[in-house]
Amino acid sequence: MKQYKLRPGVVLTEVCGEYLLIATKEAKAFCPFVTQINEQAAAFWRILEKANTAPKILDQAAVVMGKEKKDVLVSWLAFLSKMSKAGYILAEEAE
Amino acid sequence: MNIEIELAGLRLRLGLQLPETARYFQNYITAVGCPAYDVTLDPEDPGQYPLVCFDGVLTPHAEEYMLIARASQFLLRHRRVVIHGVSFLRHGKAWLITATSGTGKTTQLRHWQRLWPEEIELINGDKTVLQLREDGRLWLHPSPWTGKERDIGTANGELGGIVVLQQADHNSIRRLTPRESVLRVFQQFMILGDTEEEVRAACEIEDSVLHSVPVWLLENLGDETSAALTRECLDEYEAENHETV
Repeated sequence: MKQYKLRPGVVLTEVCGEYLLIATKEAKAFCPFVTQINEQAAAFWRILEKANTAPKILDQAAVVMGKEKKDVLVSWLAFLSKMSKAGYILAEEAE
Repeated sequence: MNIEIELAGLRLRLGLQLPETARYFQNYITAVGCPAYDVTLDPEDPGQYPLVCFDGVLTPHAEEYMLIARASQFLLRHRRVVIHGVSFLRHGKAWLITATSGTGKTTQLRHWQRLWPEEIELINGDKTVLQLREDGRLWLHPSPWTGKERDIGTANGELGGIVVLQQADHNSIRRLTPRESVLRVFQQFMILGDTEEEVRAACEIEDSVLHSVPVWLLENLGDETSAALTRECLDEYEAENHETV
């Protein structure tokens, strides 16, 4: 099963109700310096700060977003794809 | 060589690699030959600015430019940040026109200076210092970084609003929502963001900006009409707020 990890050195901040991901020195070589994300993506990010496998992430996301897991799955996959391509999320096979 | 400057109400000691760089700060120097410094270039800095530091060779102009972000690191600890924009006082408030280089900030400033010279007082022509004061008010200050045109100002004042420029095939101005503003404004903060502390300090300032003042987007041809449109917008805003107060 894959484990997901947030890129170390990336900070999620909230500015006037909007969300930014900002790469500090540790992360700058691997992802954009600043990216604006929406509320749902920020929620996934916060979940990933604590949970690291897809089942756990989806369980928590369903609770946080008040949706069925199957509905959250589509959003999660879209988030995962975009964030992985940008270098914000790392995936590795769990031992 | 170490010099001390006064910047946005703070004393800041710069450790200069090249003594000739001091001339860029001459209007701000309060002491020369200090025993220590608060800000100096990092050894890796020349390599990070290839367009300014050709072949890694340090010149006074390059050192002056590279010190902006390093100075901003110091300023953030004191709730101040360098922001890329021209600024002027008008009707008792400070107004910032911001955009990436080459978009037309100086062009807009020239229109204002030519058409309505008695109305405005220059704060800075390129890199302005934005301060979040203890009382929550936002303040614009001049800085030594005045751009290639060397537009030197001395005024300072409370921030009234921000105009973000975008080149277009027409002239229009509209107020932006926080969602539309947040990235546009943050991208004009001259920061390195090396640490989480710096990032959060910059975001605290921006949060206050977006809660406190309007941000407009001026899509423009760069002509006098676009400046007149901005002026009309500021007049309307001032009239509305005067009525509200």
